[in-house]
Parts: sequence; C-alpha cells; structure tokens
Amino acid sequence: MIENIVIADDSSTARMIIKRCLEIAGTADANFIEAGNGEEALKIVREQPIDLIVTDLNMPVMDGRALIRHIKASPKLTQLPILVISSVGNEASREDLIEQGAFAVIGKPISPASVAVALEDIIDQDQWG
Amino acid sequence: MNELDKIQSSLASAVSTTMENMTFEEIEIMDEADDIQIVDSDTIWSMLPFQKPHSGELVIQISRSYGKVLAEEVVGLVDDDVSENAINDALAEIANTIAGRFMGALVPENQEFELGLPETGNGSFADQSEVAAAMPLRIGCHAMYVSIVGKDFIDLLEKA
Repeated sequence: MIENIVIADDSSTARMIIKRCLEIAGTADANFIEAGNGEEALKIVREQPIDLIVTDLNMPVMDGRALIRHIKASPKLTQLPILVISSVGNEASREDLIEQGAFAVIGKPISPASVAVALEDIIDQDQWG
Repeated sequence: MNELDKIQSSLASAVSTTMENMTFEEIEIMDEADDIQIVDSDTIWSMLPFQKPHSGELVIQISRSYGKVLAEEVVGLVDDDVSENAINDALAEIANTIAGRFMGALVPENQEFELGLPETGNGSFADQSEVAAAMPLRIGCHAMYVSIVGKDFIDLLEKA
C-alpha cells in the first residue's frame, strides 16, 4: 500500500503533472508531499515514513542523482523505491540510474499509463520481494 | 542522412511528441519564409542548456497569450490561477521535455547526455548569433519558434 509519496521537482508545474498522473494511476488516496529539490526531499524522508519517492533529475541545490546516492547509502532508507521522471531518457542513462538504485525511469512527457506500470511493479515487489 | 537533416528530424520528432502528449495538439512545421508572428514585445522565451556531449541551448519563443493557454492545458489551471510564474514554469517544463527528447534522438543510445536547468524571460531571446537549426511551428491557431543554438552544433553541421 502506497500511502505517503514525496514528489521532488524544482518546477511546481512538473510537480502538479506528476501528482495528477499518480492520482489517475491509482494513488488518489495517498498523501503527497512536495519538495523543490533533492535536499528538501531527503529531509522529508529522514523525518517521516515515506512509501515512494518520485524525483526529477535536474534540480538545483541537490539533483536527483545525489538524492538517489544519499538514500541508497542509508541502511534505514535503502529499500525505499525511487521513481525517476526524466527528460534524459536514453538507454545509457536509464541503465546508469537503475544501477545507482532507481527502481524505474520514466521518460518525459509522463502519462498516467507509464506511471501505472511502474506502480504495479513496485507493489508486486513489495508483496513478493 | 546528413547532420542538418538529423538535427532537424530529431528536433521535429521531439517537439511533435512533446506537444502532442502535453497539449494534445498536432504541430505543423512552417517554412522560415512563412510570415508567422511570434517574436514581438509580447514574446516570452525559455532556454534549456545542453551540457554533454554537445554544449549549446534549446530556445523556445512563444507569445504570452499562448503561454497562458499552455499553462491551462499542461497543468489544468483555470483562468484566474494562471500567474506569470505558472506560465514560465509550464514553458520551462515543455523546453526541458523537448530538449531531453531531442538529445535522446540525436546521440547514440549507449551515450549519456546532460542537460542544465531551464531559464525563462520576456521579449525575444537575446543571443541568436549561433543558430544551428530553427523551426517555426504552428500549433492549432498559435505559433512557436524553436531553435538550437551553439557553436558545437554549428561545428557538427560544418563537419558534415
């Protein structure tokens, strides 16, 4: 069950689009917490229970790659699934991000359908993994 | 396909996919010679820097009134909620998406690329001295001007 979701993106427009896609994809009842960069997102996940992080890559202060590194380096947070929403969506970048610890990489422009597939995979892994 | 064709087709594909997905509008690529009024005192722009493997910029210019339409269509804002920030934010998000898709189509699949952070502003974009490719577009009843700027891209074209 995905109850608490952090959306990290420096663009408020992007955060609204991501939130809407997540809601349509099946998390309408979730509690959404918005962060303007990786540092804010990291602070949130360290302070409260979070089930999923959805993050952009290109952000000021702390970018998405650094956020992934910090989360994966923390024994307490390492199991937290991270969905990366990125315009940098070629195969080499995807593979590198998955290797760093992203659960999935969704290329922009995102759609509820692409988000739904990733959410199903997260729920499947949570049940059987 | 020569380098100019590759840049043009990558750009056309990136703009088309992005605009159709985000605004559900089909784009029409115009000739440079076509008289479409975009750049005037009411123009707004968004610039997204390319950092690796080629440095340069993607620049989008539209009218402020089309920016308001995009903010409404992309984010679903209603009329009263469309602030200056919301318009700039929506245009920056579109620039970011187009730039990513453009570089994704241009560089080989096994090669990583990096983008910078978008900037937005009012009036026509100042530095258009190193335009490698330019694409005037009509989207519904609106106009958009997309260009790829930077010496790296001009060098690519000259090497071809």
